[in-house]
Amino acid sequence: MGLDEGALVARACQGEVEAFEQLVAAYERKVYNLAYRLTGSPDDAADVAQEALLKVYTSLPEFRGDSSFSTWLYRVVSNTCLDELRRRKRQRAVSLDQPLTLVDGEDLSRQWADDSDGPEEILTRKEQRALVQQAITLLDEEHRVIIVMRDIQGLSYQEVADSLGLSLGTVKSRLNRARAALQKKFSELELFGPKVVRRVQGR
Amino acid sequence: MLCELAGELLSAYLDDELPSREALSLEKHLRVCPTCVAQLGELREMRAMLASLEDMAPPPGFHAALHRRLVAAAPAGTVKVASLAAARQRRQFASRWVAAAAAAAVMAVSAGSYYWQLGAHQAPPEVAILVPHSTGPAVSGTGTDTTPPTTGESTDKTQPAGGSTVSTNPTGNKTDSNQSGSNQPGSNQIGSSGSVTPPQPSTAGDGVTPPQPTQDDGVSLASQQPTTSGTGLTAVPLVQTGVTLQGQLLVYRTDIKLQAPANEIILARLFGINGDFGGTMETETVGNVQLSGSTGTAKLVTLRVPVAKYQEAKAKVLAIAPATVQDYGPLDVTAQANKLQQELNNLLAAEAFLAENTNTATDAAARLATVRQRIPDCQQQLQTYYDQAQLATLQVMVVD
Repeated sequence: MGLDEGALVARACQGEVEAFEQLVAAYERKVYNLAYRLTGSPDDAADVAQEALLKVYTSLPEFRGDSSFSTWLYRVVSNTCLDELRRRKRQRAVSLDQPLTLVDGEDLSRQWADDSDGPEEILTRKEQRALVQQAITLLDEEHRVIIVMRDIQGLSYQEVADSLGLSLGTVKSRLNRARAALQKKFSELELFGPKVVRRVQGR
Repeated sequence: MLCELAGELLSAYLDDELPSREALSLEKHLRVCPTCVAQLGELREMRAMLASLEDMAPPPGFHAALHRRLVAAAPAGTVKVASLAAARQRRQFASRWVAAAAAAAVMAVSAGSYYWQLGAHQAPPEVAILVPHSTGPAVSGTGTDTTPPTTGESTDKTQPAGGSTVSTNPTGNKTDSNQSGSNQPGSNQIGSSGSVTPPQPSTAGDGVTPPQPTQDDGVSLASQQPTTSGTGLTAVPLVQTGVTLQGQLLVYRTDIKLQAPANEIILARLFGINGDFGGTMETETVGNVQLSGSTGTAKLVTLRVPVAKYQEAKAKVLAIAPATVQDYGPLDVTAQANKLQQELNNLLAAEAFLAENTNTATDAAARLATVRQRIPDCQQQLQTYYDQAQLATLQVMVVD
């Protein structure tokens, strides 16, 4: 940690909101995207990411510099995100009618396959990405978070281990199980095979 | 190797995280097992699809919302500027200002009570308070809350010159700067002349014309009428108040690298110095700080002392151990603060206007989002100037 970061931590520790905001500015996007990939919804993601950063803010006095600030932050954030996910899951079971949300906010109906009566449809890249996101959100939380960290955000095994408080061996085996589970979802959603242009299967 | 075991290894193999002995035996298996090869292919394809997912920018309003939540969570006593939420809440209670004014007799009262001159046909602006802008270090949010509409000039005189100042942000949180008589006379006395032209927030409910400020009290009110076009409300009214700080807003800060072990003795001495300069000053310790290129750790102690005692405190810190010193300041931030205040006035005016005219103003929603994103930054920065002009900062890093 550089001196600047140390000074910001000090001020943020004291409660200075501005210092805190400066401190986490560099991580905000990453935190938001972690939350987005975990929740699959831009609105929920904003809320969860804010919750997580708020948690970082209130937990800051506990930061003792044993690890780098970024590692510590990521750990607090992922814990908070996981807690939030579990809490929300308890609160409301995902409705099957809940629309899939695309990156730009368009809805992709879950019943898209039913629309194939007409001309054969094309599964665009955008739709494919939405399906990939859907597959991720179908995983259980532990698998979801490790996939997002490793395969989407590109953390190393060691970083994943530090962030989740796991041993390297556990990271390895959990990632293996998570990928196997995701592979199954991908198969179910017919995501494997020729990409970019894909025919949507009829009923 | 059995397919079952191979399946366990594929994931790590994909990431080059498999020890070479295991990797070799897996490869041997892959040469004879099309199923596992296909499996590996799918994993690779899946990984590529995941990696191709694009990063998304946080939605508009993310920062502002985060800021509001942080401010709400900030510990009591931490100086902060009123959030929009607080402003709204304040509007609800605005009618009580007369009673509150009596209760706040001790408070340094700001000339910066805001009013907003608006035609009766125009909905009053939503934001009823702003950052007190005219009192500098003697920021008196409570004052803005309680100053009667037409007495900006006269109430301002109740502010003790250089005496005890109790800063209160507009949400009512006291700051901890009540070191009686400790403010440096002169350099930090700002705006007590009252030649300030407050803009006009409405304290009135909908449909009620805000109190019209009188013009004969020596306070010139330069608020512009919001521009209203015949066909629709497209122009955002700007508040051109011509607010200027009287005097200077000076910021002092010194970074000290103290060559001493970061042990309890040294820290106790620093705390002692802190204690010598007024019991209610903000101080804090931080966790051990990892130094780049060094295995050791350092302690970072931030002392915030009244500007008047700052040199004295600095000398005491330097007496502890050999040190390297970097002084910043006095830095005159008056102009910046004035500019920020002006911007904030305009932003709040714009916010209120756009919020009231969502249906008629051009691109109201988008503009509102932009404005709302900027407001907290602006408030925060301004408050920082005020804070720093009150309490000088001694940032002490204790390191062997």
